[in-house]
Amino acid sequence: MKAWWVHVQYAWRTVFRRWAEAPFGHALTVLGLGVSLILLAVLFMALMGAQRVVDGLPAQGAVLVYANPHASDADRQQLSAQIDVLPKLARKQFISRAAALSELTQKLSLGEMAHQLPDNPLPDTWVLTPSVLDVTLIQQWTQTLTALPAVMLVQSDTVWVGQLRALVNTGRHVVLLLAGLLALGLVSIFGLAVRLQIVARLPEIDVSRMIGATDHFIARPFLYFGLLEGLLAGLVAVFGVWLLTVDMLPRLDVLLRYEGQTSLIVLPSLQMQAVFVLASALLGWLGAWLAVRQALWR
Amino acid sequence: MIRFEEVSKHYSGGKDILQGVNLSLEQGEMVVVTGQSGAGKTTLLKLMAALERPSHGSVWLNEQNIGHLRRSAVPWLRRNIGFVFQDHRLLFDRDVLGNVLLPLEVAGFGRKDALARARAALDKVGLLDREKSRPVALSGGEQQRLCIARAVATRPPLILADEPTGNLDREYANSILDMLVNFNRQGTTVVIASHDADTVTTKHRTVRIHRGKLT
Repeated sequence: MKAWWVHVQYAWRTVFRRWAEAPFGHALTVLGLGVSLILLAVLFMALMGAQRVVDGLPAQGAVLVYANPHASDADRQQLSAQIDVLPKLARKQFISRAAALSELTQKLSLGEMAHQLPDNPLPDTWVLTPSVLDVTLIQQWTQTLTALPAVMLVQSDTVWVGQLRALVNTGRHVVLLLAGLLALGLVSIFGLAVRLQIVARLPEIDVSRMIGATDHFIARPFLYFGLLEGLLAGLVAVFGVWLLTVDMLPRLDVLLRYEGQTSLIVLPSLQMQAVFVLASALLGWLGAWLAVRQALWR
Repeated sequence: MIRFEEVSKHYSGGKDILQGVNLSLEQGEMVVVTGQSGAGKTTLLKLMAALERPSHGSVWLNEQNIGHLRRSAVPWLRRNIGFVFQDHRLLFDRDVLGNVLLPLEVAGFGRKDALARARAALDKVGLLDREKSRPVALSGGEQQRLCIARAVATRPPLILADEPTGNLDREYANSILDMLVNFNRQGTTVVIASHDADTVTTKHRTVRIHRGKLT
């Protein structure tokens, strides 16, 4: 245990000594990796923003059924009866054509102009709310209702809400795929940086082996180096994201802000930031491990 | 302490470097292995440190057949051996003290203890006042003394020195040999491989090797 702790201390001293030997070069590597991680973080933030927008939309949506003004009473009764038996109907609201005209007159301040109309041009309307957001169900409702003679038009905002949700889900998959590819690229770059170090340290490795160094003793500083570079790159990325969020993105956010909704761009929570930095450190360690395994443990 | 039993060594496609070597070294002995270049002296030393494995026969170190050691056990064996190389194998990106610290770090000595032992080793070879220097700033003789300090820092029971005086003038060579003799007097087993006939003028046991065979 004591020897292990001595070796750990030695490994960290070695890491800092190597860092101090070429601080500018290592700082540039970390900066480059950090910028790559910023791209990844911004992708995730954009996705989270889109998710928030979708979450802010009405969960069920609504289906509007406009009645044919010339429909007979029997047809209207048939329509009303049909609406009552629609599957998964959560709520229905009837707006008579008279009520609709009155509301429109008030909203648009039409005043006397509305009374000058020869006839009320608005149809009777039902606002139907499904209990679940299911595009197939809405299509089924639309088909059933459109076939009735009393129905002039069926409109639904549910379909595009569903499509938007599907789009965000697809976006999530695309972002995850991109994140995976980017992580793979980062592991390669971390690995390459460590491999270059290994090549530069071959004489030291050779001598160390001859005087009794184990593979773990030799590998440890390289692994810790990868871990440190990953950690620092993660911190650079978090700082970059903070800078973008606090300074630049709010300017864009004014353009992007969804009506009455929360902001599209929000700084990730501290917990998320910590996870991000740790994940970056892990990528650094993984890259170093692959390089060490390939170079030393063959 | 060390025993070779019918040891042969050959590389694939090459000639036999050692052929049927039988040799026994007692603890505290000082042995000089002499022979021309290519006679097999270095291979003999490498076999003692498990840097090579015999093609045939057995090499025993402290009653342990080191030819059959697991790969993971080899580093522990080497920690009991101090190496002195003809080409020094110093690390030029470390200072003098850093070079001597390396085997102590490998062996797991604490920082304070390691520093004390490293400075004691440098003191023995007369380089304590150069601890902050880089090896490149040392002369050939000083570099070899540094190599000896690194070899003895952990106070190993066995020192293997491969052509330790090879590149040095007579005065420096004698001082290096004196140091090795001194370590031997303190109980360390020392094996020196040398092609230099003058090395064998010491009063210690000499083993001659010619074309892979002991003569």
